[in-house]
Amino acid sequence: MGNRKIYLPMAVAGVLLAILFPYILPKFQLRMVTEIIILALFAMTWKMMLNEGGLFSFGHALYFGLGAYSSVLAWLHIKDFSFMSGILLGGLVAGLMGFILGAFLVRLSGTYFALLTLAFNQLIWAIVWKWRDVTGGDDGLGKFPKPDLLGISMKDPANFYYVSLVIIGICLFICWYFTRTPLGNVCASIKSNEERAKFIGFNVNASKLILLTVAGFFSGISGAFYAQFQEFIATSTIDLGMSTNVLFMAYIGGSGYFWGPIVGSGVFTYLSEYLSSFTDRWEFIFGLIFIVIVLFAPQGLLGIIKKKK
Amino acid sequence: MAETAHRNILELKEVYKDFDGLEVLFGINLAIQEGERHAIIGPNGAGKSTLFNLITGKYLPSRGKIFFKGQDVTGTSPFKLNRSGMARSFQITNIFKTMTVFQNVRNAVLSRNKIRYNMFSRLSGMEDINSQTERMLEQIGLLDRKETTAGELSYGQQRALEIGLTIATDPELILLDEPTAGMSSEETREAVKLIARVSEGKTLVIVEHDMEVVFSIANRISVIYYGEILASGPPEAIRSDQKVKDAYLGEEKE
Repeated sequence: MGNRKIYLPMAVAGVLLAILFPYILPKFQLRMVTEIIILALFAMTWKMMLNEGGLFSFGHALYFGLGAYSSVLAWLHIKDFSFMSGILLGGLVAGLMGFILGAFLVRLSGTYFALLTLAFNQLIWAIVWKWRDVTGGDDGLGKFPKPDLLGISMKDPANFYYVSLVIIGICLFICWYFTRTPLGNVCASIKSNEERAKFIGFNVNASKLILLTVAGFFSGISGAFYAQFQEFIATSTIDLGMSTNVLFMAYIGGSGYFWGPIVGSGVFTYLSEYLSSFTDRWEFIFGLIFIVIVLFAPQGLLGIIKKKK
Repeated sequence: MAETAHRNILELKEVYKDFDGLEVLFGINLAIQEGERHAIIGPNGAGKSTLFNLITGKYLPSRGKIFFKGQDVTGTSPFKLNRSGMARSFQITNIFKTMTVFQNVRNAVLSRNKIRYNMFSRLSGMEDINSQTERMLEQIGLLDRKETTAGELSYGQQRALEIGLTIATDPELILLDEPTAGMSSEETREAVKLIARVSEGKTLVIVEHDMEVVFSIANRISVIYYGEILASGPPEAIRSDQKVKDAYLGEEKE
């Protein structure tokens, strides 16, 4: 409670720093910060499923990738498709997929839930991989337009950073707010004791379905941003590697805390960038780091900090 | 038939249940009238809990029909039954252990107020919900423990919370599955008072082993014996029923 006092100056400093980043950081680091912000939302949706609903998603790249592919296809094939329309479309398509798959998924929990998400991920990945005419298959999709937003050029890295910061920031805020609402509370109750939740009149399946849809929607938004960030997408945005990356991010930061996925995205993105400049076996080192965290800090980095306090 | 069904809040007609061939209940017929305090007794393994699970929608009967307030509710899911006015407690404490006592009861209060899918308002700002929750906590004697994590409560307090969760949805029909199981005699006395207080003006069905509790609460008793209803009637009649004595109550104590 005494921490209240230090929160405000910290928040002000954080916002100031965020505004100043494009002026103080070299270009490649600004790019990295932008990537961290975008992936933070993706990791946040994964954390939402696990922490708010007790659902372990093992195929989360499905929503992320669908958001990326659907928005890119729209930008490619629809004339003058605006920046925000693409982002929103990515969210809607992924959200819809969350809703459709949810119909199968909500009846399951635990291992079965995780396995089925994995299976769906593989299924959609296989379609994207094989349907070359539309998705480009292995070659991916590039050279799609990067429309201006309200007359602001998105081609400028600083502008793109600011837009990502604001829109993703709003999305992250909504994810936080969700946990404070009655529906967020119902999800928490289901996680705590699914059977009891049923017997006090909560519709467990419908609540899980909404959670899946919301998580899918924000994953899709994150994916669409990622596509514009990379200016190129390939099957790697929708494959199992991406599904495990998001799990790493949320776990490393601490999937029990709001800031966990954000910190996790930062650490993950920074490390993969940093380590890969030394060795092309960075994933091996990363695996070791992950093992250490799971063994010695199961609550993630934030868990260590909170415990010290 | 429709007329009699109307006065009975709950009615079971020829209900059978078997688990993969293991017959647990054979042709249960049971009618519970509005306002009744009905105890179901019987030895371990007689099928009392199974009966509860059938009534509250946890299991589907193999055969037979269940009527609640005159409606056929056979196969209706638990959450729908709860919404239509039926709530139960569990023999093995079934609370939200990781949440605080306040959050536990608030869950049920939210459900009663039909606030279940709202994802736009903040929970902490709902004054009405909070005060309803506090009132309920006071009723079950847990107001001073409201910030405690439910899993850390003493056993007796967890049992009280179990009952609190059951009644906080404001059901017309309350089903309590062995509410005093595992309690000390002191705790049991408290629990009996609590049950009497919170079930006032409602229909109560209770499964109980403690005969003292049964005879102090119930005004009607059904005895289940190996999956069948052996006898059903007012306490005095049950006490003196020879079949019941032979099968279950044994020699009258005192």
